[in-house]
Amino acid sequence: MPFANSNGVQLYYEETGKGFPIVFVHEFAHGLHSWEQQLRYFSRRYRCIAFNARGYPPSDVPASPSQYSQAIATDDIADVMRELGVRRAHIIGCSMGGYATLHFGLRYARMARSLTVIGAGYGSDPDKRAQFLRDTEVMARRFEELGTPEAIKVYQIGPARVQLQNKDPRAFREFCEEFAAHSALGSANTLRGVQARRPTLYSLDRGLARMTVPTHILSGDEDNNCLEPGLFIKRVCPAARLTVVPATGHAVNIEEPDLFNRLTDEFLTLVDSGRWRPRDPRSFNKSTMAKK
Amino acid sequence: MPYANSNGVRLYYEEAGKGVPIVFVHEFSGDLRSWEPQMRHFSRRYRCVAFNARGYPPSDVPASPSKYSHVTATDDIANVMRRLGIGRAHVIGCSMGAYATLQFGLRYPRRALSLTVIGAGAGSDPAKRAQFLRNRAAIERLFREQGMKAVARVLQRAPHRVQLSIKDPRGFREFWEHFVEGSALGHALTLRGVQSRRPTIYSLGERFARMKVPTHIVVGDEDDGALGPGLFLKRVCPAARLTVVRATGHLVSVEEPDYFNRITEDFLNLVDSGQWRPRDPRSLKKSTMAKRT
Repeated sequence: MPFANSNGVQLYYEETGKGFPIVFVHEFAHGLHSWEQQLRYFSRRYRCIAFNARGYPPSDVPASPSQYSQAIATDDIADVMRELGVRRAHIIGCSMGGYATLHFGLRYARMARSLTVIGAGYGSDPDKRAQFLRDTEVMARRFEELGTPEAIKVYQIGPARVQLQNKDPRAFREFCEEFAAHSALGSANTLRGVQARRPTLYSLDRGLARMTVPTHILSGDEDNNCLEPGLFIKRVCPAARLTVVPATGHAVNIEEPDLFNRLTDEFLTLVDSGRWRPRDPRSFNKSTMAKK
Repeated sequence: MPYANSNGVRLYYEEAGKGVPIVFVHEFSGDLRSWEPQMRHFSRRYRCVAFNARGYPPSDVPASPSKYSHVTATDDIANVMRRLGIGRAHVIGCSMGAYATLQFGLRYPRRALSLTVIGAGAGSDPAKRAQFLRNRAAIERLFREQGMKAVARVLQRAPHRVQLSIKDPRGFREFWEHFVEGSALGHALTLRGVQSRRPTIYSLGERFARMKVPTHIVVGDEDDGALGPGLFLKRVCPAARLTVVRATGHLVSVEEPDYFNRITEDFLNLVDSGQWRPRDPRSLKKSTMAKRT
């Protein structure tokens, strides 16, 4: 099995295709297999790399919660790239992986040719922050006390997951089966170390306003916790474009793989062609009339 | 030329294709020609009808301001359908036409198979309402005093219209060439009668919460006046789905015809197949965890 070493922690990865690299960063409830439909599509023209975060076997599962954080998750992307001799890549991340992708753009801008950020922002809303932290701790304890298969029963049919259950029961079943096999310790540590402690998206405003890496934000229109953060990024970051996908929940690439692949193909091609440009400053005027 | 009579006002229309009907309702600065990429695409499988609003020649331009309102604009859709013997149709509207499309869903739900609503909601934001009304009044004066070309120079550089000029200069040039052929009087009366007097989207929340017509809201991510109302509609109306289109301004169907046609076709197919359903109530829960049973 291929592993990349990140400060002593072994991260499992898979690779397919040749060309300019894309690195895929998975979300909390998924491992690298959640990118299967993207790996098969983009490997025709790109070198696709997907890896499991620490805490997700076959990657190592460090026992100490201190080995898990937003900063470490971001460094792990850079370390996987270094181990594979990849200097620059398109980075594509979902949810927790979307956060890491944004932080990668902020901290490792020169290593990112573009960022594709799906469903990022959960836990950012100040009004729901306390509930988010409570939910996160409840889930962490459920993992420890009940084990993964029992712990995830309330999570896998959350309000931004039922869309997949309705649309594509086969994909939903696969998601639940794979989720049930996750490490309980790794999941609890990830919840406490990464999710509960990461800064909210709103607190990244200054960095995002200056970030110039071409960025595509995607959110489902029923992903209540990520819609506003998506709009926020669009408003503060001139390098960001926003797609909201209709009748869709959290993991847009799994719910609507065809549309996601098409939109992403178009975005990557725009960037690769050198014709991408940031938002026209004239579009920021407050009035609907142009300044005379 | 084919006209439909709407309470004594003659409305010019065009038709193409056979099948389930689609009616297209244009925006303030366009006319039925703005729908050309949609007419060509959807006429392969649908009966496509597009008409010019009152005030937009060859439709009549009634001289009295009382002949223009959002109510009249909505009735005009119904009257064009009646004149053409259309019982029910998919209704697709842009901006001002999208607002009429929403009103059509509220007032004529049995005659709408679905609603597709592009860039609706300008003037809804309470914090910018006064500025919106001032702008409308200023542009109305410009229409009356200086004519179409002077207004075109102002409108075409608006923050939610510059996107087209960058993406598709040919499409941009054509759009504004069509615009200056319009009636300055008709536009001035439309601004005063329809745009400045219509209720805001936010004031119609309770009615949209009860509306059951399958609805697709489409907004450009740089169309600031329509993004808030689009999200609002998604939240209050279980029949609504929302698409935000990346790096795009006001006229999604003109700026991104290929993408618009594709997502619209997906939506119409879903409705026509009988498999469309409203939002799952479980998706409205506040916590990310399901309630325990």
